[in-house]
Amino acid sequence: MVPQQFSPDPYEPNDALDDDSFEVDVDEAAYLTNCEPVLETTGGALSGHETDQESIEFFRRLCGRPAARTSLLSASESLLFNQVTCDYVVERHRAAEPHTTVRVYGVTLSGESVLLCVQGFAPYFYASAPKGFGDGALGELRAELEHKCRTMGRVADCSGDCILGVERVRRRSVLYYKPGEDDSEFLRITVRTPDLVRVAAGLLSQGSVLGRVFDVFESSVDFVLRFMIDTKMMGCSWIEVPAGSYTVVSNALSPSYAQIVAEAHWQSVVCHPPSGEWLRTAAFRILSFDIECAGRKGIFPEPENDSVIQIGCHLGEYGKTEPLVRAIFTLGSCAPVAGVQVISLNREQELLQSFRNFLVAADPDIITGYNIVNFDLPYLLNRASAIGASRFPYLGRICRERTTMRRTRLSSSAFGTHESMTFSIEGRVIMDMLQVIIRDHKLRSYSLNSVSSEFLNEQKEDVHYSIITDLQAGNEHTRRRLAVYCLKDAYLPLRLMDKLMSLTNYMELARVTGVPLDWLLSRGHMVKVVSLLHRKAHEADLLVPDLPRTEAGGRSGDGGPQYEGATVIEPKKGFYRTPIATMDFASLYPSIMMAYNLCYSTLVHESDVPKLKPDDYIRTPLGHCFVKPSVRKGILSEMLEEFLASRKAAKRDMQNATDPFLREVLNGRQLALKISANAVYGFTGASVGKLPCMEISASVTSYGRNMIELTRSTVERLYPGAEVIYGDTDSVMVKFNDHATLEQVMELGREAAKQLTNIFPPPVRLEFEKVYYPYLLISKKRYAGLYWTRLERHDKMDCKGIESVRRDNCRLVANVVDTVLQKLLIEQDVDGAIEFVKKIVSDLLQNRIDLSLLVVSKTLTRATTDYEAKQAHVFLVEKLRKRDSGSAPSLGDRVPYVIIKGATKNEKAYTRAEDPIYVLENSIPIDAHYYLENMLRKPLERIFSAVMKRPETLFSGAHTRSIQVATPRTGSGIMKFAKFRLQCVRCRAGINEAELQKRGLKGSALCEHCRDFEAETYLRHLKQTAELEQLFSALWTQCQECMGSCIQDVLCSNGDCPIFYRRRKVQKDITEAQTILGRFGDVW
Amino acid sequence: MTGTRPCSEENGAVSNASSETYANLDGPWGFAMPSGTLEQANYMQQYSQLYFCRLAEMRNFYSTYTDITRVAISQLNPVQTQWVVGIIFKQMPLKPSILKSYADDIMLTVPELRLLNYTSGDDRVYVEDETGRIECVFHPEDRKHDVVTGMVIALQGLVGADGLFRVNEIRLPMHPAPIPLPCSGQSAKQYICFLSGVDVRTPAAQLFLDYVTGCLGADTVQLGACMRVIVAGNLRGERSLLDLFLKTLAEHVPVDLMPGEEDPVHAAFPQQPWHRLLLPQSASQDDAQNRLVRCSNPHAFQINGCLFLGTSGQNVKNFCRFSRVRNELEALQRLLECGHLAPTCPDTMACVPRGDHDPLVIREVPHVLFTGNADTFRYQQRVFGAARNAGTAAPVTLLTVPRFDATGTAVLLALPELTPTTLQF
Repeated sequence: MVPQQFSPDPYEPNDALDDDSFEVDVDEAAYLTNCEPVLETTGGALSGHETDQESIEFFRRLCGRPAARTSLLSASESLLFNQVTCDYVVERHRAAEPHTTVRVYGVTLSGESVLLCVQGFAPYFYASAPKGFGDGALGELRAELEHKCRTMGRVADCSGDCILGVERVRRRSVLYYKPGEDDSEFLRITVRTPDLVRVAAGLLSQGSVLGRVFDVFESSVDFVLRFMIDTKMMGCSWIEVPAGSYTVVSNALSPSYAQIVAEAHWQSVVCHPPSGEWLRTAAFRILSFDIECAGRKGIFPEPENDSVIQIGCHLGEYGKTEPLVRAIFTLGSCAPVAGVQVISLNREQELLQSFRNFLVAADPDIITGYNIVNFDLPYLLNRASAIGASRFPYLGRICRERTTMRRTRLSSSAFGTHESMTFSIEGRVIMDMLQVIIRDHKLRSYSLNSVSSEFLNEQKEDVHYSIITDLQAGNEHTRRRLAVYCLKDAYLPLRLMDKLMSLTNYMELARVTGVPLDWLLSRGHMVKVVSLLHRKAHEADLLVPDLPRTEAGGRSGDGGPQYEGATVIEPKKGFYRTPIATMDFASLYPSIMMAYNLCYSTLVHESDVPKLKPDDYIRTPLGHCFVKPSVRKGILSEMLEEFLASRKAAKRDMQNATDPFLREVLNGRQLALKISANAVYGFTGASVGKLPCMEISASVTSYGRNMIELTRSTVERLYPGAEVIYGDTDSVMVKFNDHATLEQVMELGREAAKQLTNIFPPPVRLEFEKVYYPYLLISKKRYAGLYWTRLERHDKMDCKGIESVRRDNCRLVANVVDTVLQKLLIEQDVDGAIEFVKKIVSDLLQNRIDLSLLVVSKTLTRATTDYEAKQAHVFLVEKLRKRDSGSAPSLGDRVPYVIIKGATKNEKAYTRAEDPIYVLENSIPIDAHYYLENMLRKPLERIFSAVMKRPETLFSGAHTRSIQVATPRTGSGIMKFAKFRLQCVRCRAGINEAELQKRGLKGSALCEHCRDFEAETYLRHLKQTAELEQLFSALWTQCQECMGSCIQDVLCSNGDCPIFYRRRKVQKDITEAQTILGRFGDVW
Repeated sequence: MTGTRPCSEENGAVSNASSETYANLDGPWGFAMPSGTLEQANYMQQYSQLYFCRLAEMRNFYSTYTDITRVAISQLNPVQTQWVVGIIFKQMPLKPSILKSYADDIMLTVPELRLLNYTSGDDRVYVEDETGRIECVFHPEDRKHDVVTGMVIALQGLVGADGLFRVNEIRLPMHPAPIPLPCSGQSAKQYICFLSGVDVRTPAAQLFLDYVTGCLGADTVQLGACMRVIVAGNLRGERSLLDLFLKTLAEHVPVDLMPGEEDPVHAAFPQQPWHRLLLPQSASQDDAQNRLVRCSNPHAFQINGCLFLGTSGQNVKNFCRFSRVRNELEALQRLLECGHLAPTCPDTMACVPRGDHDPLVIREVPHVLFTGNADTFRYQQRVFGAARNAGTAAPVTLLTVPRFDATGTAVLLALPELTPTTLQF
């Protein structure tokens, strides 16, 4: 997580107040000449020439917060608010000692925004005190540290001491149980500013002070987290400062846009633990926005060249379903949109500035959108810089602090490596729904289209950016059309947030783990455990060591960083038509840690083992020793026990809760607790983490393996005839016998779980959860079954590790796999499933599969020249560029393609990728074999290998003999030279029109030999045409409905929508069908 | 079924019939596409143009209301009650959705849930013009089921802070009334016979044929005056039998053959006539004599100054499914009132995308508006639109012709009084 500078910061630190810079004239894009005058409805107040203050006032009347209560403004009431986020600032005034202020942002219950500036909290860390470290040495250390810190550059201008204090304290290290040693002496070193912690700790640990190496503790804790730990402040919790303990900064001097800016000493801040009445949430304001840019043909919009033309906003409030205000900012006039504030501006600087002022006035706590972190926000900031809108980048709650961005790389074992932007928008939390969904859900595609169709069951209109420019260049009505589209894109993220309860769940996670809300998205998993571990350690007077990276590696190195993971019981694959009971260990790894008291603080160094009585410790299957709870209880166990108890309580409260909103909160809470408990094990095992301890993590998995094995042997002993057919990490699947009914198996499962629980140490518990019936076991981690918890009806179809969600597949694979599973599991019709697959195979070979099912899409993430490996979509883009450079996809575009037949046999597949629309329009034959062999074969053979003897017969045999290939209209090879000649519709013989006429035969559809079948042939084609007409109508009216207009043309180019290609295809098919019908002659 | 027509000749009915004036208006009204154009019907275009043309034309229907000052939807302001004229779009959760059926990952064809009625309390109504779309709220709420997608109507209301348009009043177009029919001096009544949904293999169909050919001997007075048989769609039976049935029929009385949704023609509305290839015997009848006119659906024609307009019933059925009406007659009445034969085209009924005009707009109010393939026979005469105020206007006759195969009923409509009687077979 090394932050990189994104680009040389083009901003001078002090031009914020320079109003003249706004007048910098930039050559406006040509389309502005088309714009009508700004609509009068927005009034003169928004011409862009007023001051920001006036403009903000204007927007406050529209969407500002309710006025602040005088009792707060006069500090006569205790200040109580719901924290949103926290940061700190080091204030350096000339000729004064710098001091560090923690800024806590929040909202009161009645909706006022608050900034609490907390004073007096100084950063500190610990170092181990060598034996016999006297007062003299202490003084020496302090003086030398002070001197060395001062020469370390960045603190040179610091007046006053760098080191505020060094004191002796008695503590223990959290790592290792040392027999006979209760606590020992440590030095607590308090420094003036947070950056000095790292400097001083570095000096001590490198042996630069007093010539000796000190072990340092807790120096890597982020200062904000340090403050929150010491004040027991959790993320999103309620904070109270009693009346009299705080002062309110008057409006004129206020450094912030918050309604109430107060100052208080850190010791007078009361933090309420988030439970009971403090479970509630203030009405956080959420702003969702989306921008539209005027791209040039064939080029993805670039902030250096392409204007921002519209910004759509939905301002919502937590807990309300309807937005408070909808607003659209447009460049050039825009016809009114019902229920929406349309703010039209003539110049782009004014557009950006108005949006900025709107944002400040709306004062959102949460900013959301879709991909705003990596597109909309960077684009706005870069664009503002490109056109000299220097007053724009002030989006935070601190008036004078400029919004900047950095590129960061986040590597996490759970989420993979992502590059992402981070922003400094003080006091507001950025919650990009794209990031939330990527973190929490595994999907085939993360485009807003697919995500909304997945979660909201809605298809979204997708307007390609090249059309956006045309709409902008039109008139106020075409711009209105664009506005409606833009607003919808701004609205969907809010709907998603609401539907997925993301904000509720993340707030509960912040409350449970004690981490500020924004960190949950911008940082990895570990920060949650770091926070919890430090909090727990702080309570118990334990210190968390800072392990130098190399040492961390070394520690795990002795046992080897590769320890054995969870093994599985080898699956006995097959298709089980008898009920299979599934028993799960409830929170297995946390339970093991509790059961065996596995913790940093209970681990005994091998050399210390002889000092212990044999009864006082246990040896894990891997040979590591940990003391028993009677000697010392591990803090990890304590922590986990608390989680368990809280989760139980949350679940109980959830059942009793009558308020649906509270129930959602409690559900979010129990989820957060589950996530946190499971993260603890991962934290101990993360070799590049903050405090890896392989002794713990490896022991946990070894116990886990033993327990699965023990379960197997016990079940098979207790229930003769029972067979464990599969077991994985924390669950075992049991087939009791061949003839048991669902009811009997449920009973047996329940009983077995109860008996088995007794053989394990508490709190390890085996639970009977569900029955799979039928159950299709394919291989390790791949299975599917109907999931039963009640006798009446199955709950769902459960699939694990089966292809359907893989992103690089065409939709056909998912559809076929899903259908096959449905046939096998629900209908239990093996023959039907086989027949179905054969039919699909035969349809594919006969060119009867809808093209949209064969489309694969990939995003062009780099310039085509930067791809090393030859990839189909890259190759296609090159081809398209040669065909028409204007309309070819560019960077960031999704490139849909299908694989077509090659001219020669050995052409590589990637060279045969082709644009689906081009394929449709020119009837280019699809490479059916490619789809069979490379897409369908593997997943289907895998499934069917459990069901039938020779699954390969699905892909060979009589049904594969009939092959039909489209006749290409244009293009390759010999077709270029073929002369067009009329063919008989029925027998395909050539037709000589002159001859027909001579013989007085009407129409040119049939040759003279087929005339007896004229009516039948006509009827057949007529029937097809009639079907196509119905289809045409159904498809195009559906698109009109989705787009939300009858009179406007459908522009949508959403290739993810199952209609898109069909819609084009039906146009072409119907036109061809009409032509053929026409050849039968006039109806009269 | 001898092919001779002794009975009718005795009564001199043929000469009577030939003295009538008949004009097929399918071409002029834009239902039947002239030779070659159907093939060129441009399916490369979308439906937006069709809606656009519909709105542009039908908006003028409201210009006769002096109290309506139309405001563009984008110009609505929240302080004033204002009128808008726009296309209705009704969002209906129960409406079958092709997207839902595709979005499912399961490739098994699940039988589509077909409801008799797709309306529900969760339906939302929007009104749209070129400048935008706004959601409408009705009071009482159920009034939303009076409208269907595709209607062009005038709404008066007020926009609330929530962006919803609260509708006070709904106004439909004011049509000019049809010209009153000249009182016929003839004492002998003349009839037009309607039937639809005929299964030619059934005894009833044969009975009907015998009746027309006079072999039944009964009621020859009526028969003799039967000027024309209108077959309003959905013929069943082997094609050769159909052909023979039509040929025999047409030998005795002129026939207008309209296609229906079960017939071998295009699915998209307006449906084009049966192809001559499919009816080799009957289609070879002398077209100039109008003995068998292969018409479009919808079909418009004029007989002795009396204007007929009708369909084989898909439009009415579709309307019934997406609104709340008591019966098909009421649906027919609503269609006439809203000035459009099939507003649910293209939303829930396939139709040809066109960029020039919408042929389904009712530009001229007919004397008779009929639908085939109804559940039951119903009829009504009433005065519509502007004519209601004028007092002197001619009424419109609304007629639902039941399926012959289900009810054995054909309908005889007497001219010029336009009173119907039914014939049971």
